[in-house]
Amino acid sequence: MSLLIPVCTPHQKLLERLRGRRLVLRIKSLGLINEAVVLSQQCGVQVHCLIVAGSAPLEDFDFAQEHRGIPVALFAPNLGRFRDLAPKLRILRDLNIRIYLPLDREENFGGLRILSSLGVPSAAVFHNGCIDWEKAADLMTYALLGRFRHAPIEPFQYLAEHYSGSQRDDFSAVYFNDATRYVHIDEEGHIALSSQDLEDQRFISAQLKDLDSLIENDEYRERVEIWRRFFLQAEGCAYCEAWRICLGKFNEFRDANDGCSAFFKEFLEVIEQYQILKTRKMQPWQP
Amino acid sequence: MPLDILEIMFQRINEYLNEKPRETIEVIWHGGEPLLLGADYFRNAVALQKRHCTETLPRIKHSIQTNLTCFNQSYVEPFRELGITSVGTSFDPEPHIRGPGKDIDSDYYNDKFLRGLIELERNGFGWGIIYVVTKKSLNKPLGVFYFLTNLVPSGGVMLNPVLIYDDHRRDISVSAQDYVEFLGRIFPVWWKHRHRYPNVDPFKPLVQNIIEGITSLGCGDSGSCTYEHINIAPNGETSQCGRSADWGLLQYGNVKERSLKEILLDSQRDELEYRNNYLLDNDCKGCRFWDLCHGGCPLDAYAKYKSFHHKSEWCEAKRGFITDYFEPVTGVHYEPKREARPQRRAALD
Repeated sequence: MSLLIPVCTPHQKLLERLRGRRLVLRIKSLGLINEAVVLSQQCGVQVHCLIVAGSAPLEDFDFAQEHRGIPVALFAPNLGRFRDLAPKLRILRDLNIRIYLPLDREENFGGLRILSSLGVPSAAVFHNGCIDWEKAADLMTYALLGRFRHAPIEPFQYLAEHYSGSQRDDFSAVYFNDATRYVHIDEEGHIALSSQDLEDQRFISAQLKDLDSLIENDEYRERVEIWRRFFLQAEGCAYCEAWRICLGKFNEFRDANDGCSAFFKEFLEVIEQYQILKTRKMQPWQP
Repeated sequence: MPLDILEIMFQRINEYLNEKPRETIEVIWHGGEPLLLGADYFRNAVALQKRHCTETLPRIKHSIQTNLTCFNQSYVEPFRELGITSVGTSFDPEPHIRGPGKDIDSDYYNDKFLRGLIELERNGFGWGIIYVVTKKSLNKPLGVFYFLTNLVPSGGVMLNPVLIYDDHRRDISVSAQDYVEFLGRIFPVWWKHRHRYPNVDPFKPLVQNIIEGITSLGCGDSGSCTYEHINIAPNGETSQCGRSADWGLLQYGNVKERSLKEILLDSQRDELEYRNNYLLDNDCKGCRFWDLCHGGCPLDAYAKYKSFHHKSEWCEAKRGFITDYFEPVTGVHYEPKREARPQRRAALD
């Protein structure tokens, strides 16, 4: 059985066809968690994680103690009013949840810091990269080099933990868009290699039965090896010092994205500093 | 190389190793492009080696230099059977440097290279890359460096100057000074991030030799190629190395008629050994970098002076790089521990 993790909605017939697999389920609200979990058990699938994509600010979500232990990725546009969120923090901290906020809204640079400082794991969503890269660098430095207790902010933590220097590192998995780990499936069983492809109905296969042989598919291989195209150009991202951790994700928007290169270079240096600090033992002063 | 010559080669290797039970032989498959031979050829090589080197097989290592454009799944099994775990390759992002046809179709070539590379990595082989510095790359040393290291070759990156010996492709030739400046632009970055880019030649070997006290020199700088290398041409004719074969120099006869021991002890080789002593009293007298280059490759010297009794013209590049960049950036001043003059033929006899 393929190790690729399908991302799909909790549609009973589809789940029955995916029996025995580990899945990421997309649901519309936190209130549907129990229903999705029960259906998964009935259909014999394991829940890797639940994605809740809401359009309301975080303050509007109703978190419940009963959802403790259930992995949730919650996408919200912003925090909302902190005074309304504050009473929910105790429960929020108890949940196995990561809050995703987009960086194209300026307020979210502060929002992510607040969540992190309060012990709530979070993730910055770059979208097309049209963001304030200097503020992103401040956030990344805070996330990785801040010496006080705080919750991880992705994708900074992910890369800091996974970067080895001897390979290309892709942080797309943080957003379920790494085709070597996740595939996206619609109710009819059409397979796409990213959430955007699914939305655009760009399918790599129209048949769910192809899931297990997908990694042998030439188009799939082309897609996961898409990094190769940067090395066929006489200029561009492959010539950037930090390509190995960004893999040209913001190439399409390079004109509007002068800062991406500077950001990822700094990111690379901070990762290396983080890894040194992590292995360094504290040596107390000796007389 | 026809299979009958290949068979003789393995017989000669076996004969030599049987006589020298403490020695090993490394067979380097080189071209042209060795993969043009096809996967079946390498399967035949596996079979011939098994047939003729039953007891000496553990002392035979294989490595290969290929441009990877022909590499596919069919090579995986014979390569593994030959014990090849890593390949040497070469690549140039500059358009029209490498590629087939009159127009040097680098788009086609580079696409084939990258496909071969992916297949290679998928099958768990390591690889290293030789990059040849040309005039076209002189204006973007760091871009080229990042490009090559972004490919994250497990075996590292080697930055060599292009060697042009005639008027063909003078448009890409570089001087020793050009090469020094190219390396000099990269070195401070490499030094700062040397844990990020571990295997970059010539930087890492210089650090090993100058700072860490580990002797690590390539064939051209080692001063010890004299009795160690044999180039075997497709027709079985032998020479010192690929370059000497190209120029019709240092020809040692055919493997059909001579044993490897006879070839390794050919008296013409003594000229190279003599060169080591001669240079110490002449071109290289008093040079504090002798231990790091030994006058450079004898063939480079020959290309320039039509005699082995000179240091290589690339001496300036090595010395210039160390004094102008390596020492100031690292803060380490190189002082050699003078090595004894080599006398190595006796050991072979």
